[in-house]
Amino acid sequence: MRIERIDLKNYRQFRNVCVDFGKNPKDDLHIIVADNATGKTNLLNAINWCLYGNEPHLSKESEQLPRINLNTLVQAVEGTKETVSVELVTETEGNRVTFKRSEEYSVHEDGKQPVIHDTSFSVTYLDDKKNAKWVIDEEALAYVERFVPRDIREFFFFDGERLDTYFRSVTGQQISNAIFRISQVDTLNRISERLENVVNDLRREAGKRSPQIEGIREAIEDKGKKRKEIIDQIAELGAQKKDASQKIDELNEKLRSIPNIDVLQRDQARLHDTLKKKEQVRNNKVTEKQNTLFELGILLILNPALHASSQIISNKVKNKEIPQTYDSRLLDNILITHQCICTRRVEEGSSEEEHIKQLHADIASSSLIARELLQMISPIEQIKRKISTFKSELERITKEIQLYDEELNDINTQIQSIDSRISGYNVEQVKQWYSELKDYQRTCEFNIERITNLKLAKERLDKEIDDLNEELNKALLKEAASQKVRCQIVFGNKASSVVNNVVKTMMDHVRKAIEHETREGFFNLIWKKGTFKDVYIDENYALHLTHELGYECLGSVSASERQLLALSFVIALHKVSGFDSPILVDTPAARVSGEQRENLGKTFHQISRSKQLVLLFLPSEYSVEISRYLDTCASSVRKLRLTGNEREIQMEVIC
Amino acid sequence: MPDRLYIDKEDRPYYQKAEEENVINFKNKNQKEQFLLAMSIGFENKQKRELKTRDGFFFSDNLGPEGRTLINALAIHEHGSADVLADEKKVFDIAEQYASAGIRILADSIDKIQFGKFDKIFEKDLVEMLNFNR
Repeated sequence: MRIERIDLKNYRQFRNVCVDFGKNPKDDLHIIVADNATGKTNLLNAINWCLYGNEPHLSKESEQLPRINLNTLVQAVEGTKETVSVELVTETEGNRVTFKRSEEYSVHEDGKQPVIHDTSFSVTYLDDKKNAKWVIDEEALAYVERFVPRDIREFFFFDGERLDTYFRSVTGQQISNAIFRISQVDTLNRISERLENVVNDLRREAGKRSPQIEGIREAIEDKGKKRKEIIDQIAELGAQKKDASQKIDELNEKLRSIPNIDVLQRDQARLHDTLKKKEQVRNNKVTEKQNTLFELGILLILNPALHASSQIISNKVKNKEIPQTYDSRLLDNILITHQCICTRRVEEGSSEEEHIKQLHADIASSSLIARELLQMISPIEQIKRKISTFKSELERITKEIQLYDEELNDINTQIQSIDSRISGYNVEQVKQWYSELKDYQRTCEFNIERITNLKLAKERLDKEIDDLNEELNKALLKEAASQKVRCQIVFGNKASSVVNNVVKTMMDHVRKAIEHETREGFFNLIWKKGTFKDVYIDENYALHLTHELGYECLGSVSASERQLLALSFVIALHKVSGFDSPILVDTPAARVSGEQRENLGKTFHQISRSKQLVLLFLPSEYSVEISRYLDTCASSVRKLRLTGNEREIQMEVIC
Repeated sequence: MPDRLYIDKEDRPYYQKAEEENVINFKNKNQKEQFLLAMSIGFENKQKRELKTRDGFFFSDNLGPEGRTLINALAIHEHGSADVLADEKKVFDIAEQYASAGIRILADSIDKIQFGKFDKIFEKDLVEMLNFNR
């Protein structure tokens, strides 16, 4: 199967472009080189839209635009109708089959969105008598399924840039679906279903003969219904999980270079809070320093005066002037009794009495001074001690303030850094995306838990149904008239089991074959061959890459290695599937460089010998390492370029 | 015997200014502490000023042993002997005159020094003084 031609009319940038994929005798390789935003990916979208009615690789900018070409829209006369169409002429199973999807638009006045008037999808083919036949609806869709089944189209028409994240977006379930389709076990599954219905009818017939058998049958049927409900629930939850995973990938892609603003704002609020507290502590320290300066400033400035007083006190102590040694009560007594201690009389008004009175006054005065001086001794000592610790105290507080200042600077820098990281983003939009991401992650986790529980419940029911079947068999053995129907039921169950085992075996076989081809392909493409030990697909159809040291390393390898693994896997699917449908890859070497590009070039060349390969390169991507292998063997190399007003694509054939 | 220490009535605005500028946490200090600082600044600058209109500032009971020691030491240094301590009024007068001159010097410095720099300069002066004393 191959694409012979694509006719694009008014489809996005392609106003009227026909791409002819004529092949040369050896290779069926077609190269299209185009800059970003010149319609490369929209060619991929055009094929998807034609066959499946949607455009999975649409950019954000294109999503905002109508499908109809903007030049056509601008030049259209108001009230007229214009048609968008993509026609895919293919060679399918030796027959020329043309798929065509078109959309008719009513064109309104300037500035208004065009309205889709009519859509149609049809398939044209030649019958055995070479008469042209035209089919629509289910019949047309059946042709699509034969060309490239919708379920596995992502393995045929894909975006190379996304190969890096391939194993995040393509789940084990999708790989399982692909293997299921490739194994072509649909018929066997239908046989299994039919057998189950037949066995149910037989049980019902047996149940008519005995209430006990009927009871067991009802129990089996009841449990069977529950089992089916559980299977449906698992499928439903699996689909929800898949949707959530896809949304997570989309959001992660959007948020790849955007910081988590919600987290940053919370961090910033926490930093502001810490800043406030630290500023308070720092201000308290500044106050402590001011108090120290105030108190010790007074003491230090007055230190010379204190020193002088201290000297005077020391001298007086040395001269025994203090503490006071005079007994003023003795002098009081002489003045009252007029008798000296030597018993001599001291006459009133005598010079002796005057002398004693003067002495008494002097003693009173010097006693007051002495008392004051004595009271100064202890405070002076304390002040000296305070002054001696002044410098170290001041240094301590100053250092603490410096540390707080450094911390505050650091916090302010962090706050500013967050400000600069946040600035320029639509904060509310980003927060919304992060919130959605969190919700989807929660949904995923919740669904995984529920699926696990449901699987356990299904296992329990399987066991109960087996036990009931055993019970039914025993009950039927006791009924002589039911022997024939018993044998039929046993046979039906066994046949069903055999069919299910065959399905499993075939899928296992296909899985193993794909695993083998992926391994071969990857080790052929990869440059550092010694780094990796193995590639395998586990029973849940998840793909694993093992490092030579034995650990799982798919998540930690480089983007180019991951891309090569994804490419190897896709090529393996093709080989094993037997679908000889074409492969179309957008930006196939986006993340691959150096020797790996050479290997990639060789691989593409090799693939193109057995099936049609259309590669859409960026000019920078189509480097010498690749072009020297592909230029010589390519059936065609084309270049897409935009017209002056950037609304239309023109195609040039380079060789 | 005087039961309080006085400032000049005209000194009030200078105290108010020092409080408003809050140099070295001045506004959170009690009147005794403010007085002692003013007194020490007057002493440092060897400036005294006679009080024209006496305005009671705080009770002498609040001086405490350290405050009394500082005032006494100042009086002894001024008088050259401890005999001055026998005249408490004279001791207080000396303190009051230094404080009256000191608070004016402080207010003047606040005006001259760039806003926010007073504490730094005060600290620097004290450290120099400390180093010199050693």
